[in-house]
Amino acid sequence: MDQLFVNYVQAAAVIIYGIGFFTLFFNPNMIKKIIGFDMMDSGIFLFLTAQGFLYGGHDPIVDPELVGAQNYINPLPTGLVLTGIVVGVSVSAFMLALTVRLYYRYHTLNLDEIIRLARKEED
Amino acid sequence: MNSQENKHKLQLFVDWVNGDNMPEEEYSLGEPVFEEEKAAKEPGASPWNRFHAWVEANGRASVKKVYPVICVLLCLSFLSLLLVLVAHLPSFGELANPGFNEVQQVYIENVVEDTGAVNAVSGIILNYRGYDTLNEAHVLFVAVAAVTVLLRIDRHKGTSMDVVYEKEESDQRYEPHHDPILRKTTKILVPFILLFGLYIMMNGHLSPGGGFSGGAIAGAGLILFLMAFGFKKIERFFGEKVYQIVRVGALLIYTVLMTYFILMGANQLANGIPLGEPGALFSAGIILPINLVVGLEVACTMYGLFAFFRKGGL
Amino acid sequence: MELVQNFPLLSIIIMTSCGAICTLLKGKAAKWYCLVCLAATLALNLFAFFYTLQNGAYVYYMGRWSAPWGNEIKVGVIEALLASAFAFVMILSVLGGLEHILEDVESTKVNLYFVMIAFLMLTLLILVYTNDIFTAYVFVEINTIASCALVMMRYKPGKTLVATTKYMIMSLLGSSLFLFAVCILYNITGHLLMEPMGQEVRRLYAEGQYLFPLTVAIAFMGVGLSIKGALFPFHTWLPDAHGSATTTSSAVLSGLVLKGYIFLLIKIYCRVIGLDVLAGDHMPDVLFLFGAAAMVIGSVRAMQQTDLKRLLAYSSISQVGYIFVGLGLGTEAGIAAAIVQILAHAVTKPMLFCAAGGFMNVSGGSRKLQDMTGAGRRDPLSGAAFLVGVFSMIGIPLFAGFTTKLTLTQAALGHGSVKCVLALIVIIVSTVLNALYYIPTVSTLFSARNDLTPYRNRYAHYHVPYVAAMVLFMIVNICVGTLAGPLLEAIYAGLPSLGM
Repeated sequence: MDQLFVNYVQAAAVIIYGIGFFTLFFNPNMIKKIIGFDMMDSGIFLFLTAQGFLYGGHDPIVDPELVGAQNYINPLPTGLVLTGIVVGVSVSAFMLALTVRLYYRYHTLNLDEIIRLARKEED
Repeated sequence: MNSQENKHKLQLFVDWVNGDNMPEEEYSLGEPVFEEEKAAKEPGASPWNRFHAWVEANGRASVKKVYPVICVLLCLSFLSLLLVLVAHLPSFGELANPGFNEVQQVYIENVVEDTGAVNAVSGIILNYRGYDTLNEAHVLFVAVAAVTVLLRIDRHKGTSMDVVYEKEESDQRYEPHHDPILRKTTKILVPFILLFGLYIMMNGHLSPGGGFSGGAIAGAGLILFLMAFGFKKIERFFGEKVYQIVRVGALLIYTVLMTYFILMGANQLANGIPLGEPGALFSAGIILPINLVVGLEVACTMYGLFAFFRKGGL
Repeated sequence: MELVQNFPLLSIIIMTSCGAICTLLKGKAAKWYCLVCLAATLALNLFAFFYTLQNGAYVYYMGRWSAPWGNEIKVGVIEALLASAFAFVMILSVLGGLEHILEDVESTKVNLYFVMIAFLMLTLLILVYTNDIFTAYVFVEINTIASCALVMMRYKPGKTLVATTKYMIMSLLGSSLFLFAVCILYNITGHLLMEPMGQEVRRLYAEGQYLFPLTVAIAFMGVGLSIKGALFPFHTWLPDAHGSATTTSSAVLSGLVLKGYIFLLIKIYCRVIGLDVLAGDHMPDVLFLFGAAAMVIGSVRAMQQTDLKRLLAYSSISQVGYIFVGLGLGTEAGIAAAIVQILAHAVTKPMLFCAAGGFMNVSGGSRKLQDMTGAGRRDPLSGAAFLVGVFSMIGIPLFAGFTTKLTLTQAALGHGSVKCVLALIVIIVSTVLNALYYIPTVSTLFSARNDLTPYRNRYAHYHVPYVAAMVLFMIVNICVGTLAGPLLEAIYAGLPSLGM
């Protein structure tokens, strides 16, 4: 169990992920669901970035005087997080546009209400 | 009565197999709002129909009461599973981590001579694993195309810009009209914002930065200009046609550069792009042009998303 | 490095730029350009397929750097075959549903429809070819956005908006779990490319290190990709999304998109994790049970539908179950059966959806089966295509579905345990259930009773793209059914590159 405290950053990331997951399922409001997705994404990015860290490591700008890979942190996870953030932004934009259209059509942001109204209408 | 009912049901079943009479009401799960009233009111309704009707009438309410509890329990158990998982992962920040293997060694030790970039992260995402970044730019492109489908207003009579101007004028009734503070501040700030964005784009290979962050900053500058001065002014230099051509052109230039790089590399030929002196501004081969082009793309994306959400057009 | 080896990359680049260029073109020009690019992709991948048949699989570096440092794609027999088949089915689906695209989508946004089709083809190519797990994640996201956009493109959105929302939410949940699994796997192995990662995973399993994170990663990956591939408990988004979209969208989504995700799952389970590690965690048993449940429950729900497209969508759920039963058997023969089912369903279901589109034309746009009484007689070409599709679904010899059922049964018999008996029972039950809902449908469609529908005098007008698409679909279906021997030989030749 003390491994959990050694890995405290990853534990915090996983808690953020769990809170986002709960927000996604618990709230019927579309905007809150989108916030839940954003929190889940943030949690995963923190989880991924934490894997590259090294205590006492230099940041990945190569210094000609500091030779040897064991002095630098791992640059690969941060590169992955850059890609992940962009993907998260795109997906959020699409979900928000869907929410705007749903609101124009059904005049409510509650997903359960929208499904109930959609089931009644003709195709 | 019973045998007549059974015969009727048998006849219905035979008709259903023959496909001639598709009995809609009795054998398909129809719309719940109307089904339950009909089935529950029939005097000879079978117990199954009455149970079904009770579920449809009251089921939703009881599920609504139980759902929060189930949700909390489910999420708590999921969270505890994840915490147990974290307790079994490799230690944070130690050199014995599996991540510090020959991959990280090559990335740090050879990045300057292989790619010419001093910033190892730029070297990785634009040279070693350059193909992933090309697709990241395409994710942005697809997202803007999808938002266009949803939010762009195209009327068939007149152009979409008439609708956009109408909406803008009706909106400005409630907003500060030609606000002088905003306009003066914007006139001073926007050139600096755009310059700062350009600086970050160009220094991607020397310090933290790169096309994506620089593009976001430049996009923010454009959005500020749009909010202060309105669509009519920004159309003079950044209208819809220019926007489309810049966006698609930037993506196509990126694709061509990356294709050339991949083809030359996969066939073990030398590509003619010079790596330059590490640490200088014009160095790092393919990374500098790609950063500029990606920055343009991201700035157009941010601006386009704002314009679609605000006005339904460009 | 020969010229032919560059062809898969060239096809990928052609589809990439096609998506970008189609944004600038108008509707008709975009349609022609997209079709030309798809045809070029088909040709290039066919060349690659014949090359790999003769010379075996090869690895292609995406850049100058080799395996653990740079990105790469792996081109083998199965991958090239699936890529060519997907390109071919995509062309035929676009041609078969062309009139509906021009009707359903707003006239100023038709070029954006073809942009989405181009990106969808790009993601299918990469999901089939890639050898890197993070590239797979990026393309899973592009695929999510493009397929949701395809669902919602109808001009009078109505139910399609809600269907898209449900699809998008569940799809994003699946991608999020998939990304989590990728992060865990990177954390314990330190690699992102599939082959070095696979070696590390086998070493870790042999030494008994990090077993719990490995199990969690396998589970998350399985659940994430199963949500997107519509396996049994996670299939609730599929009937609405596929049933309310326009014809080409339903065809492409049912026939191709689901298969892309499931093939990615098969590839990761075979190359990265390995079937023995998987069996140690009992994942194949779980997938087998859910696949068997999907086969039965999909058919039971299909029997209750009165809307033709929803019936076909539930039938898709049941057919996806076959793939998971094949994967769940956990042997080489099981994986081969799963891949045969991927191919067979990919050439059958789009044909059924396009024929349903033809029936809708002669029934005034209505989708109810009652209104389509006698539609097979009013529109003989769609009727013939639907009949071929139904024979294939039921599993009559000479058609594609029979090849699937034969290979799956052989794989089950070769397994020899409780799973074998269960698999045989489920295949038999599912075949009977398929017949139980397809045969009444066919008899309604070809019925001679004129009094049940108000559209009895509406006959079909044929356009060249539709005729070409239907005829080619029927020919390809019969080819897959009759050329089962060479097909299986090719698949077995390609299995080693999949990591067996």
